[in-house]
Amino acid sequence: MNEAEQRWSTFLGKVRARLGEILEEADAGLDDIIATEVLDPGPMSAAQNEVKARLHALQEKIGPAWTRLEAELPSELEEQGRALESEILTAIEAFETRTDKKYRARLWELAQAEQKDRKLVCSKCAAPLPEPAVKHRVENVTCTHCQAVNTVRPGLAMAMLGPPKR
Amino acid sequence: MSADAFLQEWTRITTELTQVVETALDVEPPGECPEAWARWLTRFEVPRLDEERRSEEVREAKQTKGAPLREVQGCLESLAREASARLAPLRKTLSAEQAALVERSLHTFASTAFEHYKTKATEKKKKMFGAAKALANQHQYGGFGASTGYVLTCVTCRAPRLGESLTCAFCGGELAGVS
Repeated sequence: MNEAEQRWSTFLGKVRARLGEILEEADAGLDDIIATEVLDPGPMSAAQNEVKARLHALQEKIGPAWTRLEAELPSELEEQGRALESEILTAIEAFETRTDKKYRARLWELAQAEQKDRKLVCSKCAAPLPEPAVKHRVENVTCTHCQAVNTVRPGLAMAMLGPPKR
Repeated sequence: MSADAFLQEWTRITTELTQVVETALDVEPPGECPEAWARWLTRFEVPRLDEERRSEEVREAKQTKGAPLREVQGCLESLAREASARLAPLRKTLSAEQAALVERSLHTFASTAFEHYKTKATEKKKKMFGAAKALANQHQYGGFGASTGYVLTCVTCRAPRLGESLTCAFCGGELAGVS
């Protein structure tokens, strides 16, 4: 292995190590944020964007590094850089999928708690109201005692969760 | 030769100093030798450390970013020597007080810049989610959790809504009140 090949190999190794470090920190940090707050989507978005920005910045280092060493390296080694770029892009997608899943799972927990805690009663006669069939949006529920049409709002977590995913 | 010439030269030196430190700090992953940094090494005739040595020194110094400390120190010392030589003939255009100040600055020039670089290159990276966590701890929407219901009422006769229509079933008035 000549000096340029060694530099290329060391560089790719460092980028891969950094990828692992970022993902490790990102997963732990996101878990913490999801446990702290999901009803405000701001923190989750901010954190996801930060991770994606770092990973994209890491990916963007590979091309220029190859360009600098290209003249001294056999062309087939470029594929190693391309493969690592793809690995980073795949890691970004996997990270998004993983965190979205955790986010929805936490919202689901909160939505269940909202459902359990709410006492749905007619605001006209105070008789208990049946749960609406559709739970994630505003629904009209007719009181079986006084026939008043109650407009029932979902809890915030349930509304954010939206319709069940098929 | 005037004070203006001195000032011009001094500005050139401080600009170069800033550029050296900034380029060194931009090196990431730490210990790499991108072209921009390699140019400074060539410019100041500082020998480039080999790959293994670079990684080792960066690890030993616990650098979180930047070029190896030894290379940066070499560049800064070289710049200080060069600055001293370049400014020497111009110092006579300054007052005694100014000349003394320049003399002092030239002595501390490299070490001050190097200490600054060392601090920056070894400072722990900011946590990724500082802002997001601060925002999460505000729980901005905590008060919106409760789900409630309400009944629209007629603004004229106060009768409740009894069907899909938004017109009162009793008096034909508008259902716009809330109970």
